[in-house]
Amino acid sequence: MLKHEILKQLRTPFVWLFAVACVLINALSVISQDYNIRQILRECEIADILGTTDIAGAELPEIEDEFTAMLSESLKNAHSEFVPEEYADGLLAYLVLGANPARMSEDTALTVYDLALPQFRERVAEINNTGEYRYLNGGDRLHSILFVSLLLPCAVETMLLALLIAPKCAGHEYFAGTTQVIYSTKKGRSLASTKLFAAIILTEMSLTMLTVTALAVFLIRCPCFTLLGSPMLINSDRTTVIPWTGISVIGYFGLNFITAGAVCAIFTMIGYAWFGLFVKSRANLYLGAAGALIFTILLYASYAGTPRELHIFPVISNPVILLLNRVGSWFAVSERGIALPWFEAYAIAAWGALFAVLCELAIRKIKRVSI
Amino acid sequence: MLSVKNVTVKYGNTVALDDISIDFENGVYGLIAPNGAGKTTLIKLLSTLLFAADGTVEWNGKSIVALDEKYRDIIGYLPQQFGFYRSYTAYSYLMYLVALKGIPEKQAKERVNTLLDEVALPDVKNKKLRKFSGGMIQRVGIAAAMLNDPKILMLDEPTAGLDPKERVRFRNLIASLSADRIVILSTHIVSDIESIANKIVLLKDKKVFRCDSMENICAMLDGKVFEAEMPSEELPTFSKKHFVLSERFEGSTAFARFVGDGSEGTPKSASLEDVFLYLYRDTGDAANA
Repeated sequence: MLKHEILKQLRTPFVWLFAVACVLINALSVISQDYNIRQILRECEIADILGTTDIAGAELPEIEDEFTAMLSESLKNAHSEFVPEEYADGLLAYLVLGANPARMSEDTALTVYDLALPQFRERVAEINNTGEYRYLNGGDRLHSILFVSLLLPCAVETMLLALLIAPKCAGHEYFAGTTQVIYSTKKGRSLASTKLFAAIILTEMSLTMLTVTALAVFLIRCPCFTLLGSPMLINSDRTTVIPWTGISVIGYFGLNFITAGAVCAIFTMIGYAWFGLFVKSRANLYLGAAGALIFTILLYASYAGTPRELHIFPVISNPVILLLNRVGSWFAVSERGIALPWFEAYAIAAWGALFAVLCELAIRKIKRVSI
Repeated sequence: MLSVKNVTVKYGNTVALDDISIDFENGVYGLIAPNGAGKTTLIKLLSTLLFAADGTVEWNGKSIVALDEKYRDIIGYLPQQFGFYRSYTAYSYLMYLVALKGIPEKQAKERVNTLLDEVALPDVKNKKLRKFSGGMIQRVGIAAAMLNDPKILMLDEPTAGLDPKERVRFRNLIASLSADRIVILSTHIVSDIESIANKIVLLKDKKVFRCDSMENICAMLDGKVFEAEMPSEELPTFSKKHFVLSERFEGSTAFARFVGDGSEGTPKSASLEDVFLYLYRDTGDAANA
């Protein structure tokens, strides 16, 4: 039955159109943005030299000083015509690394960078690598690109696809007029769980397709595979997305993958409960769909306005976390009011309980509904 | 045996079936009543689409609600409005229903192809259902109802949309199936069940008026059906004095079949249609039978 329910949804042209549109929009978004790719590639090279995936890591003053010194020396030796004598070494390096491009063309700066790199590569072998390294602005920019331009839109698009898939999953029989035929069969009244799994699988497939295509376009343009294993940070303070543990970009994608399925499950059961309990007409159906859409928009808007710490696929934990953050800020571990991990667990448990209740209500109603 | 015991079905506060009791055994049962009398309600009740407010429906002594999937495993139902997915082909839709009926895939393909042959749709099985005519859709529905070789087959207006040739074919199909199963056939077309029904169930005023053989049902009007011949212009006057079952014109002569006391007209054998028209004469829809 699962195969049939999945195929039933895949026969919906509108879902395909929307998915293809999302892929195209993501691809165009990736292609059209200015990532300062050469800078990013240099940073990836440095990370590879250091043997670390943390391309936006914490402090490593010794390496920074070394690199700054080497860079300044290279600049003075190779391009003395551009370098006023009175420029301090640190400032010079800062300028070279793109902080003030008006002072030097990017190509020149990066050429100097290339000159310094071999020396740096040799030097690293002599340095006791503590595993931490600090870049300048590039790391933030890269994570901003990854998160804001790629993974976040993919997550939101998946949420919208879940909204498209779930009601159709729940109400397909109603719209097609097949309720009498379906519900008089042996397994007809037990379709709820099958539909739920079908909707989850379809949502996971959608998220995978959207994220993989967007990442693929990005990596074609900027082949820096190191970033996939780098930690998923949220701001220049180097705070990790999940407060109590680090998570890589790939790990973050995996977390979204799992929670996307859970989100779709919730939407599907809300839709199924709605059909089982309330829908008596198309007007009610559209009202429910509009309500779900407004809910999602408000959710995203509230997410957009939150501190950037709350970057987990938002639907599961965000609303409750927001509330707990605001109300329970005296439990915060920092001035920003970051919720303690167990608040997230409570939030997930609360949503899980709501989901379970909806499931039970919907399944009971479907079992006993008169057609 | 399928037993309906003191069942009342309500839609909100409206009683659709009022304290009905009836037993069904193997054979063809023709369910006849005007619109709104409760035929579809009874069939939906037996198909577990509706639940009784009072009373029980039992299959071999066990409640069909308690039996749940085990009961639905042995029923086949063709609703009055057979719904379908427009993007599906006939073959794919039947394969989907086969999965819903719990039939293993190995047997499913053979079963679907056999039924498509029986309803004369093998050449169009890969055509999308949205391109089918009404009669073709109805035949798909009949095939769908038969997929699990049901012990109880319930057909609500099954011949709607079928041409005369298809209706004869359908009657023959049902007759061949009825030996070892219960077939409940709800229809307005009396001729569809006259030749194949073992029992006729008449519903009136939300109750079972009578459940009996064709002969006994028709015997209700034994000696009361006559045919009179008269000039056409006298027919309206005649109709006011007698309950006219049907009229026929040959030139300027009118022939009226009516229910009378024997004082005039030629006696005729009562048919099921005569009984239907006479029994439901107070109901507006009886004339549409």
